[in-house]
Amino acid sequence: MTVRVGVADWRVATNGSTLVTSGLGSCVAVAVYDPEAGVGGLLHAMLPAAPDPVDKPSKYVDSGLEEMVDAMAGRGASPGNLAAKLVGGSSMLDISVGEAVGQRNVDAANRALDAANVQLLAAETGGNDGRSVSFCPASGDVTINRVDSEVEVI
Amino acid sequence: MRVDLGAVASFSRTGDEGGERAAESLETLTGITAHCVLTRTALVDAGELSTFLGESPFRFTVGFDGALSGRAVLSFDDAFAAGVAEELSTGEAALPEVSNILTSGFVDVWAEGADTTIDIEPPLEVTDEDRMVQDAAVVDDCAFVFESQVSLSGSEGRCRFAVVPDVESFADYLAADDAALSVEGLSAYLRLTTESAAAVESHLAAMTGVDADTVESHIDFVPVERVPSLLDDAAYEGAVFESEGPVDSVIAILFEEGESGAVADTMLDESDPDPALAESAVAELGNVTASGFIDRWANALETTIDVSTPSHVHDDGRAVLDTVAAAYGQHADAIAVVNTTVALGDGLTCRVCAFPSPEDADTVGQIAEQLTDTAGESA
Repeated sequence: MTVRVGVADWRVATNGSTLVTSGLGSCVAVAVYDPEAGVGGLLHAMLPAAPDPVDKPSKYVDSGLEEMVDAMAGRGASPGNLAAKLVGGSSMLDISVGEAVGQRNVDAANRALDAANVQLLAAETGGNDGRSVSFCPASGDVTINRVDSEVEVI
Repeated sequence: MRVDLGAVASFSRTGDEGGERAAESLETLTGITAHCVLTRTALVDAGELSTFLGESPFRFTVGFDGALSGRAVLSFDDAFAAGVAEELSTGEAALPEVSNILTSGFVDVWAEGADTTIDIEPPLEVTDEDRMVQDAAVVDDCAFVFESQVSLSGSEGRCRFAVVPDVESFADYLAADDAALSVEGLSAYLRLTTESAAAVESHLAAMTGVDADTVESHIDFVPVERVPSLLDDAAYEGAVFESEGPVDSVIAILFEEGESGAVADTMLDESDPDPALAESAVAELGNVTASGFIDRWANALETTIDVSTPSHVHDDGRAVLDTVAAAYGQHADAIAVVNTTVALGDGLTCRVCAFPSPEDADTVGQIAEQLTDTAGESA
């Protein structure tokens, strides 16, 4: 079963399912999994830090990760077994609206994973290209697609 | 003319919650994870409403009445129809049931907002296009549509789910809201799209010598996280500009290519051109198109608006809009998008998405008012 994850969204799946999200520009995808329990979650977050109070936690890296990890625990994942992979945060456009978000999203993901004691195993971030991601919780493989580029697996 | 984008944001959020609730209802019915992949509040030229709602072999309407009255128009593509028929083991009889459950989920959120009930009628298969849109909320030739697109995990295809409220009921619903919107004020925004589409069409045709035809143009009000869904995940080539002056905006001019390199081939008389030359040709086409577009806004204010050096893009369309959405998302929950599709010959489609800064809403309102006052003079 393929489960699609939208922008400002997260989904949790167990063995046998694949989580996919497309159109990562400056957004980041954070894939978290418990290899022993076979439970994984994929977050597609748009902005680094949630305001207080937060209306839509999945829109932000920090609150989205916290919410998703809680949901994973509810599906049988052990907080001490979690590992993560991180993709996205590109800077494809030279526009002056707001501050450049891509690198800030990557930095926020690193901080949030540290705070949750989740080990970051691999990352493919920055650059100027958009990415689409497919995450298999059973293997922990994250497959990255770009327009006109070779497929990469981390 | 004051258009309160904060109120529009609140309104778009209700539509978004309605789309999410509809997807949850479908998930309960089928037992399969359902996703609401797009929600938007669209302002559409009444004459173009039928085109906006699209064609599909499987279409149903579901009327509703109460705190808000109108109808939902549900269009199922082949893959979605086949998927639900298989899951529910009821063949095509599944579609009226799905239409019913999606509409029920959507209107529940609106009924909660109004603190009263909305009753829905049995689904009817669409047999008469005119009947489908005749009572739409049309003010000054502008129709209001709340659209969601819903998909099921594990299957291709989508259900396009458009709610078209009746005009009097919609105005009453708005008036009951603390942050009331002016229907007339919003409808003036539509003039921006028709003028902008005309500019895109004429400049593309002049630059390429190829016939250009506006397929569709309208305004979307969307939560920022829904902006990327306005395009599909196909590869687009084009340019992204910023305008600076009385109205700051980001303008994406993106070409969906039937074949790789088709944009440059249209501009240049040589096959397989040098990549730098091809990129420059695409940027020039985008620049002329964006300038023509922005000039109409500037002329309405009797001023000038500068357009920046472009960022060239050849990428997934959603990733491009994702970056624009994240930039605006730092300051706004929802945003207006002037959304235009122009066909250029047989092999190219140009998508123009313009994002006026929410902070310049008053000035955009002035432009809309001026363009409405001079409607027809620039045609």
